[in-house]
Amino acid sequence: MHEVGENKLSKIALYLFLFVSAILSIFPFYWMFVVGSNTTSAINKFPPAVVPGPNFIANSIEVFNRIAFFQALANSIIISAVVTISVLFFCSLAGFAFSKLQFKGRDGFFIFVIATMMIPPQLSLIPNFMIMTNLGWVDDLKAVIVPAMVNAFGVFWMRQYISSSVPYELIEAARIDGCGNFRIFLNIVLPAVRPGLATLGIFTFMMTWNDFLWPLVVLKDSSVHTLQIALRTLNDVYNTDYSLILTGTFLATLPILLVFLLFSRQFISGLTEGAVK
Amino acid sequence: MGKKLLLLLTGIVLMFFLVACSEDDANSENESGNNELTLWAWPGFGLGELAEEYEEETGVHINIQEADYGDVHQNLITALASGSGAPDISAVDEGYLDRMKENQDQFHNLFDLGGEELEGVYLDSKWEQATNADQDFLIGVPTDVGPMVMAYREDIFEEAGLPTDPEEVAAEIDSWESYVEAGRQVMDETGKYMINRTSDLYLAILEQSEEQYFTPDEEFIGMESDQNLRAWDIASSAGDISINLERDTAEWGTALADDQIATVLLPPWMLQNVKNAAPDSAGKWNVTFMPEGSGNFGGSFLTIPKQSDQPQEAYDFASWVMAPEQQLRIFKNSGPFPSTPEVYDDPAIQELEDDFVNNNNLGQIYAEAAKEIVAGYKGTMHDPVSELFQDGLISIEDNDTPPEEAWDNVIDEVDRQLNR
Amino acid sequence: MDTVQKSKQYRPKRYSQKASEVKSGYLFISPFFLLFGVFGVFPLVFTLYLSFHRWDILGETEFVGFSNFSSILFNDPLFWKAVGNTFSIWALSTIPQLIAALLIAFFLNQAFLKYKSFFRLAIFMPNVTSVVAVALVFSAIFGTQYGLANYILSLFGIESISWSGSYIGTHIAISVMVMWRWVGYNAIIYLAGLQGIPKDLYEAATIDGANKLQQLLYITVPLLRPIIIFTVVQSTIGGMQLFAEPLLFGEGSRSQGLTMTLYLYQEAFNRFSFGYAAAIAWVLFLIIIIFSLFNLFLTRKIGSS
Repeated sequence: MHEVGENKLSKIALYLFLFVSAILSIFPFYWMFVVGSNTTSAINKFPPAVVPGPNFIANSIEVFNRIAFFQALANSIIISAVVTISVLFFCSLAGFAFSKLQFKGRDGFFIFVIATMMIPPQLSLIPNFMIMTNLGWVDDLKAVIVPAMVNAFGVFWMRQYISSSVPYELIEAARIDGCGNFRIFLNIVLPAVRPGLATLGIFTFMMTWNDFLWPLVVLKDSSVHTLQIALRTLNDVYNTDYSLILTGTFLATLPILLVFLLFSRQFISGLTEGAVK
Repeated sequence: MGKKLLLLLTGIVLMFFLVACSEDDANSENESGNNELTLWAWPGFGLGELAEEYEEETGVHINIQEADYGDVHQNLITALASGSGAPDISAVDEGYLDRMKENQDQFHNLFDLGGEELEGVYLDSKWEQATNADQDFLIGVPTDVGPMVMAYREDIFEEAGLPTDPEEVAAEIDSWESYVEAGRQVMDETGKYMINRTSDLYLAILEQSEEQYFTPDEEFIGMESDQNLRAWDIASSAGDISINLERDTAEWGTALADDQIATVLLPPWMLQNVKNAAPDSAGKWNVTFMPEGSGNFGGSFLTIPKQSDQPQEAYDFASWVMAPEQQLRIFKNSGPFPSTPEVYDDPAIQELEDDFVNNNNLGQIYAEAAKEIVAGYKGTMHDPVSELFQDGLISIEDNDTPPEEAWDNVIDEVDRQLNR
Repeated sequence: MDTVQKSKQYRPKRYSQKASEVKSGYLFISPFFLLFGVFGVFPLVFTLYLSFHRWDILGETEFVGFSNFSSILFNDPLFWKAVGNTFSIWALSTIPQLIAALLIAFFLNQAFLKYKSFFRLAIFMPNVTSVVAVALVFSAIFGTQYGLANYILSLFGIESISWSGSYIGTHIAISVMVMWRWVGYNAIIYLAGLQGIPKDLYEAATIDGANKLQQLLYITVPLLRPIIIFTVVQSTIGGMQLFAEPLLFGEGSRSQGLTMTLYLYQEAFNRFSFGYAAAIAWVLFLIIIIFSLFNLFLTRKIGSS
């Protein structure tokens, strides 16, 4: 079988291209560790420091002393995990309905969903905060979890993914076998769109994990801080200690990488098993 | 694999829900005593230790909720606008204070809670900021202050043929015109820059005047105000002595470490940033007064939003924790500079030393500068207008925009924003 | 959208089945609309109400009719500058970004490729790198006095560029930042889409003598159409709402980096003109809808030609 890079030269070119892309992508992340393991003045040197220094452990301990890191970690895990599971379920369900079921007003509803993505989010802070104070959800993780349980981005993505990778014949066949719509969704659609779900899972987890605009408005007590909010309290208004901040940020990023690795195995399995069609 | 993952995640979620629930119970017990005050502040106030001491003495627990500087203000504005969710005490920076004063009905008048006793305790400039024009509303208890002084590089000054002794420097550079002149001398002799950016020079000059952009009747006088015209003229023609870098950025730090900037107009807290940026320049700095007086950069107030149902308790804590004695303790714990002149004679300030600068009178210079701060009238549109003027100056530096054109652009945009 | 016509061929025959489809359909999409009803409608109505008022957040509201809208449209050069900047940065960043992402995904999907997990993780990294670190690194690259980019230019004898001071410099710097952050994101989306394409199609094409480029153009791109539409719509919306990158880089002395949402945010939270900001939000909403429809139209044209 022929593939891209069937001759040696183009293979080398391909690896080179991917390798350069990888280096460019990783460098700022790596540099986060470099600064986190040095002192702040390392940033200002010209040329700046590019090798890790000896202070990472000391900086980590300082981070743990300054903020309730593990408490915030637990809050972040709760929020991101619940939101991710819920988004995966509800968005793929809606995406399935929008792509494979016939009902009146379907396309209109779908366009409405997309239109909601176009609303600039910056102005919703105040009205949403009003809703939360009325519900009594301020300083409660619910205030972050519940509004995020299904989103337009996920619905749109799952609809597109299901329409591109689940053929109608498959669904018709299941219908003839007497499957109800929900059974079809669970037994036919979900297994067929695993790479799509994995992608949605990764991005939802990451976005929820990194979000701070909304959480910082509703989660003020340090007992409900997420990692991103707790890390922001390392910003002294007068003196910014970058090595401390980047150490904290580096530590806070590791869980996302773990989740990425877990989910991205779905990509491999999709490939080795061959496509579902 | 997928099922296992789902199971794992569900398990984690359930576990943490249990943990979270039990924590909720613990919290509610705490609050049932009702001897708790919520306080919003950003890091760097150094209130933790004092709050614990206060609880021991009075039984009132202070729940300090810290957030990033900008976040505290955004949260406060959001809570005030929504009508609920504000804390008992919130720090408000001077930059936001006029906006809050304009809406004083959102806050308790501290004069109703015993605030009269605070008169005379704080620097006049702080007191003027904290009260309204009629002197019948006190919006907050003053916290720290940021008296501006001039730090300069002795080695660069010497190379340029300028004096290096603080008193001689202050005598030689006694006006902004002579500052620019000295800057040209530095440039000619050493090829180094006097200042980071002309807009910072402009602000320093402008803020030494009581009259800035607006009269207390909110009339815009930026086109006539002598101080504004003078500040603009001096700054807009000083592009040749400025390296054109924003203060407190990484590149600014690089330039400092690269020995390219001869003076920094700085409040006490900024010295730490210079140290962080250019640790190798230790011992090459000295500090003296800024030309033509002082200035203020930073400092805030503890306010009590109307939404608080324990204003008296809140006031009692705020006035206690910002009393001279406590401010001095905060300062000693390497915190911000006190705004209460009676502690300026304390050895902690009089004998303040720092290996980074060759000056044994550092604390005295700060204290002297603090007393000279002028609280100019700002008004609600001060900051947006000020930003337009600063951008105008930067555009001259960035693109060689002719100063007259830059000025016209600024005035046009100011006009548009004010008349909307 | 693109499957609408296709689905008509598969219109179900039995009435009972259709009724159950209708019921399930509404049920399955209801969570979104339920949540939107609770948390989405009120902010919209609130914003609409505000856009006809003058409100400085803390004080009284005052009804001003359409004057906010007429100021924006006819008497606000800064807004139109922001519109121009947003479109310019969008054009500079989006098209190269999507093409690069598609190429990377195509390469990563090659069966012979080793270290796939490493490369996947690598291109995902920009998404998880903290914005603080990103801002620091990019200011080191695009610094005017000490920047890496100018240093490299100087090696080729090119005069240094004022990245934060000139229009083109600022637009390029912000676009590079946008591309850096989002190429990997889109590549992962495309990669997920590629997983759904059966490999035997490529094998058949190879036997028919199609080269790699032909395979990419005649198999991959058409089959990926729903996914491509998704990325085009999303990067259009994202580009129009560009906020974080210009905020990090700085808008510059002549507002050359000011984008529409940045302007909206500044009006609301820096200048406290909430009514005006609300009106901007609605104008912005309309601009995004029109532009998204236009892009969608283009994409479908290109995809089907």
